[in-house]
Amino acid sequence: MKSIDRSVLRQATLAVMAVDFPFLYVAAVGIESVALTAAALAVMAAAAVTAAIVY
Amino acid sequence: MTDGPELGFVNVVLAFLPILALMAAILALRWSAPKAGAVAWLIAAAAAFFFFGADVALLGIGSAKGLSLSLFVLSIVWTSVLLYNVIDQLGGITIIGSTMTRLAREPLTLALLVGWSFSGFMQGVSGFGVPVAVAAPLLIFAGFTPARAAAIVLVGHAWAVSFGSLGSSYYTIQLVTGIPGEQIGPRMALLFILPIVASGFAVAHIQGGMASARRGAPLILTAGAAMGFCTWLMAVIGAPQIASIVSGLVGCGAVWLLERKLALYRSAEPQPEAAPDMAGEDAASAAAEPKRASEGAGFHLAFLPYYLILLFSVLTQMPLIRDLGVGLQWGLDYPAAQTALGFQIESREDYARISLLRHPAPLILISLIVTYLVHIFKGRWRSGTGRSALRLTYSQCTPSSVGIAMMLMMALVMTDTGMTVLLGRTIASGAGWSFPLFSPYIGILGSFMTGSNTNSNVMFGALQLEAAAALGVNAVTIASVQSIGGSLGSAIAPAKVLVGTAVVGLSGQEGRVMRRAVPYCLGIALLVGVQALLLTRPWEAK
Repeated sequence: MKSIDRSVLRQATLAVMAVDFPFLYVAAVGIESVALTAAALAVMAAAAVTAAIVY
Repeated sequence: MTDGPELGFVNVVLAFLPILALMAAILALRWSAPKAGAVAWLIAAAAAFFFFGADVALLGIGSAKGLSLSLFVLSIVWTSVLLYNVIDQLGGITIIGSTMTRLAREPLTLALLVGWSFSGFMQGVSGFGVPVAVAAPLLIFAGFTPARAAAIVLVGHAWAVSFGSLGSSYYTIQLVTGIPGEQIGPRMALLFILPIVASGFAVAHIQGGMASARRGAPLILTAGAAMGFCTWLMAVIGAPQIASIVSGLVGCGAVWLLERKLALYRSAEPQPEAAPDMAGEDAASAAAEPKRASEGAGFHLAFLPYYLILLFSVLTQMPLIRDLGVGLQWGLDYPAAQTALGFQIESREDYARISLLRHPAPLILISLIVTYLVHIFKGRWRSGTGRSALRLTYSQCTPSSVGIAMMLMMALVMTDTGMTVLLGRTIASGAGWSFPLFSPYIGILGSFMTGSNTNSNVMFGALQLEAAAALGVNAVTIASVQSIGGSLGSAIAPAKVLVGTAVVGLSGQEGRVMRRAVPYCLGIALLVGVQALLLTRPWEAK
């Protein structure tokens, strides 16, 4: 993986987590929607997998 | 919280799996913290979902709590690293470092002064990560390798956490256990004397092996006794919130004075500005040139932000200002929940609350703003300083932020599904009458996972009390040991180690620092456990 791509993905991981946090909170606590919570968790899991690869 | 997963071998192994994976990844596989943390969270979430009765909602709540806690922690990391970078860009670190290094004549006494007493003082006035962020760079400037500097400060400030942050962890254990302050404060302070002295020896050993530990013994024992006495005195007179502050300051003075008075150190030549203390593998990384200082900038101007942090930390404890700050706080509310195995978690209001007048991050930012204004007024502000510092902070803190967030999500998923309590109960039930020996390790477990002595006390304070009652041993001693263990564990928590590695420029090499620091903290915990065992004499109970 090119170093520029890896650097971009590293920054993107943090950005995705930061953006997903409010969605996760609203989904799990605010509107208590199982589907939306699952979607938000899936995004977080994708960020985790990305972090495991690029870091 | 109530009962959840059953105490059984398979459940215990599954509950331990995320922690085992995290430690193995960092220490054995030498993965970076973001990588290890991400894998550990995925494992924790899978274990919680498939084996511990968590549903999607509970995983969402636990993970969101972890992110709330991350916000609390990362705001301190980012602001303290930014502050450091701004001061460094202005040449202030060079000035502070050269002044501090002149206070001590040799690396041993410098390690004790900065890494043991001063870092403890900083823990007293501030909190999470700030001692590491402030003290470790000073040691690097003096010639210590980055890994050694980080390890010295992590281990060296471990004694100050419980009574540090203006007493937050101490007040938590008091509230959770219901033990009056007049009872638990002095007892905990007395029990802290051993860890205070032991951490001093640990710092000396990290600095220069057994030779330094032997050579530093008179100084460590004397200064340590003074620091321990001050901690006890502050607890006795009802001022536990400044116990670490006063003890740290007394320690700084004692180390400085004893170095000059004791013949053992008087023969040492005053060290040059950058005393050599380099291991071959770190020589390259420690060889960076210090930035040229602003002409005429004095120590006090360079240290101004830290004076301000200290001033604001103390001022915000005054009742009038504290009352003003009641409405100036932010935290998210979380509902009660229950796993399919019956483990219940309580609802939480203002979880991981950030109080604008008490949380370190706003205080650091205010200090930074005032520092900027003073430098502008004195004509010392360099154009582009802010931009450079922000850019550097971003690159340094991004990996740490991912790591901390992932690990805290793991920790809170484990906590909210009963996995952590199961591990605590396993230790308690398996230990039998030797439970006091293992009591500090329960405290370490809680703070190791969350990076917080306070959180450890919340998680395990009641459990420790239950175990003490079941064994018929002194509850005050056991509750004190819980907090002491939490203090030691928070110093080596991956989340805090990440702060240290980010500041010293070792991001991605957390394993190196942890391998140096962890054995000392675990060893000191053993001493604390033996002390507790001898004091409680559980074999005589019932």
